[in-house]
Amino acid sequence: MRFASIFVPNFMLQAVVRTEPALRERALALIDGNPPLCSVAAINEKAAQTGLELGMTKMNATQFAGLEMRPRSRSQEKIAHAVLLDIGWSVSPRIEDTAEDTIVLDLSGLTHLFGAEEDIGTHLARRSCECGLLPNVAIASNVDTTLIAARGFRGITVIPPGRESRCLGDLPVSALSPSVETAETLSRWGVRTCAVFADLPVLQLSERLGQEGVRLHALARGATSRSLAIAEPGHLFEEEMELDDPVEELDPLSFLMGRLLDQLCARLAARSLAAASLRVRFEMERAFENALDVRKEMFRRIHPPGVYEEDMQLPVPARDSKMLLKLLRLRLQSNPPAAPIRKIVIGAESARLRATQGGLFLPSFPDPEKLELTIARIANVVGEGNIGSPSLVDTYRPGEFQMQRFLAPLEAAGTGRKSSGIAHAGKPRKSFQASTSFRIFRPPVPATLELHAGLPTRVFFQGLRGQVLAASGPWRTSGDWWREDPWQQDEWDLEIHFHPSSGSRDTAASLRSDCGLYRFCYDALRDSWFVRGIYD
Amino acid sequence: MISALASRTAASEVCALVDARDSFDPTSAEAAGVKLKHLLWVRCRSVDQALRSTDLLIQGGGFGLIALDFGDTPAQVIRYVPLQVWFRFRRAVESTPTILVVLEQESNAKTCASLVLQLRMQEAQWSRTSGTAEEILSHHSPGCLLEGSKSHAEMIRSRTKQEGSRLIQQEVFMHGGGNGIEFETEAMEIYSCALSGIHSSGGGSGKG
Repeated sequence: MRFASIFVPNFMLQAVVRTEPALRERALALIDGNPPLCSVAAINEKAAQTGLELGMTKMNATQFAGLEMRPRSRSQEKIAHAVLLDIGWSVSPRIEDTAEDTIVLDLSGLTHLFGAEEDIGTHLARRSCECGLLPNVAIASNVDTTLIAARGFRGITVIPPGRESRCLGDLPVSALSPSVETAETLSRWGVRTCAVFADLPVLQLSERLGQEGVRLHALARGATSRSLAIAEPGHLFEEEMELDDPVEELDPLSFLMGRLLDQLCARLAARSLAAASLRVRFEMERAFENALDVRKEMFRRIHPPGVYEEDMQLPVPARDSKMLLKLLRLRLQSNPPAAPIRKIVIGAESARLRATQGGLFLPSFPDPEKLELTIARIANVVGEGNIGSPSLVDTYRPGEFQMQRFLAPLEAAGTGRKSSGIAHAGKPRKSFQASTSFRIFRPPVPATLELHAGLPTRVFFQGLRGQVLAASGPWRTSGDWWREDPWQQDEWDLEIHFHPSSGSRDTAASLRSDCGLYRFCYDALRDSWFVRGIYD
Repeated sequence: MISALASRTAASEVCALVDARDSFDPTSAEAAGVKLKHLLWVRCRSVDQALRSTDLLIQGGGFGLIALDFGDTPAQVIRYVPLQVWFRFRRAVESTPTILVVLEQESNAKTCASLVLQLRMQEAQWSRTSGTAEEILSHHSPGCLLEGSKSHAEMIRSRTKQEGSRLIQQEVFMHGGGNGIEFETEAMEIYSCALSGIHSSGGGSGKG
């Protein structure tokens, strides 16, 4: 049984550099602590070369020219740890969440998928780089050896079975993580390396150092054996970024969101998953209102920072970061945040990628991702609630319907278009089943009717006068009497001849000729007439 | 237009309706055979919104039929639409299997349209149990029911050939009415030939 360990050295620093890759090439120090006790918590190699040391105060650190300083970010460390777990799960279903900066994978059976162990190590390192981390990877036959080797050796280390003791021999005894007292004792004895420590007789070692000595001795020889504490895979993917300066404009905000989406999609891709929905959360800058109100003798009233949240359900799971960014931009254009933004959090709910296979003889349909973009763009033009698929409501109330989200059908009927095309190719139909349609006036047009013996004879609406040539009705309907908005109306189908000189023809009732078929309604509850629509 | 939507949605194609004056009635459309779940309805408030939405739908692609309904928009408003808009639509749709149908009160696309049909309502048809045609019958059913209207359809211009032709864009404008239940014999042949062009173009080389 073989195991691999991924260790991220200088984890605090790498968590911050992950969101700002440009900092990797510069001298960087992380500052931690509450003012005025801020001190240097982590530095990279370039910063160490300048003479900067851990524990220096922030004031002293500012004396170093060319040094970039960033505050330590626990939220970024949490995300980096989640990324590390995602990398592990992308390769093996059995991983142990050993520490914030370390995970261990069970490599059983993976050589069939990934090849030799060196290839597995290379794959893990490459996948980590894609997600913004530079780890050490070690592969060995027992868990503890991999942990020690990953912490002790840079890059990718593969320890063949039976060679654990020899490979770990060059490492200092501090790599075994002894207690302070044991480390002092070993230092007094002159035991510097694991090889020297492993050569000590275990019986005498136990007499002087106790059980800890025995344990450390087994670690140095690579002779320990334990099983993994398997971690449960998570399904929440989240990336966040805190900004030094608040962002107001959409373009720079899009740039930042694009970077977060790239990382998010890389993590999803590593687990062969996609985003089923996106959740965007902005923490906005505090607003100042009425800086000084002398009358009320109040100074600046500081409001707590606002939060902007937006949930976006995707029609199909997707992990195309560019497409997701376009959708987010369109959503923000239609509903922009009210204040400059200080922190961006983007989360994705994961789902399996859809797997569909198109047929050769089936009608085509819009690509769901392109369709979602198209609908979002049109929604920006006509309004969010004015585009979709209509569906009828189970009620007798006239004209009742609801707009639903439009989803491209992924399945087609059994009889595709080709068969219908073959049936009709070259032969005109003898009879075409056209049907009269009905055009609704929204809102209904108020009207006045003259009745004679209960029958409509003349109509007036929108400056038009007409004579009723034929009438069918009244068709009385009512309903929802148990609700606050009941309805009761009489419907008439009228054939109307309009007087040539009557009013303007450019009305919403769309007078296109001197005659027309209209549906009139009498609202019994409001005692008023209106034109519901025209037969077309 | 509703019949065309019913025909295309029955073939499981995704269709779009750009409704310039928000006059679409889902109830009667479903009764006419339109599969509403295959229909994307864009409810507009102005000609500009309708044209921009149509442009976005054509660019998005994948629709079997896109219907642009200017039937309730006054003719003089549509006359102000520049001819280049129609050219743009034609260029965008001609290389796709999408059919673009524009319904308006008078022909505006002119040479941009591959097919122009003129539809004219002639007379309403009522069911009467007694009495002459001149009588006004307003008693409750079954005395008088509106059954529909008789319409006349005429092909004004066609760029396509008869057999297996590719119908790219057809414009249908109305004078006092639209599609009806019955047609005069000659008009029916012309209309059905034009629509058979629609069906055959749908099964043509552009799809697959």
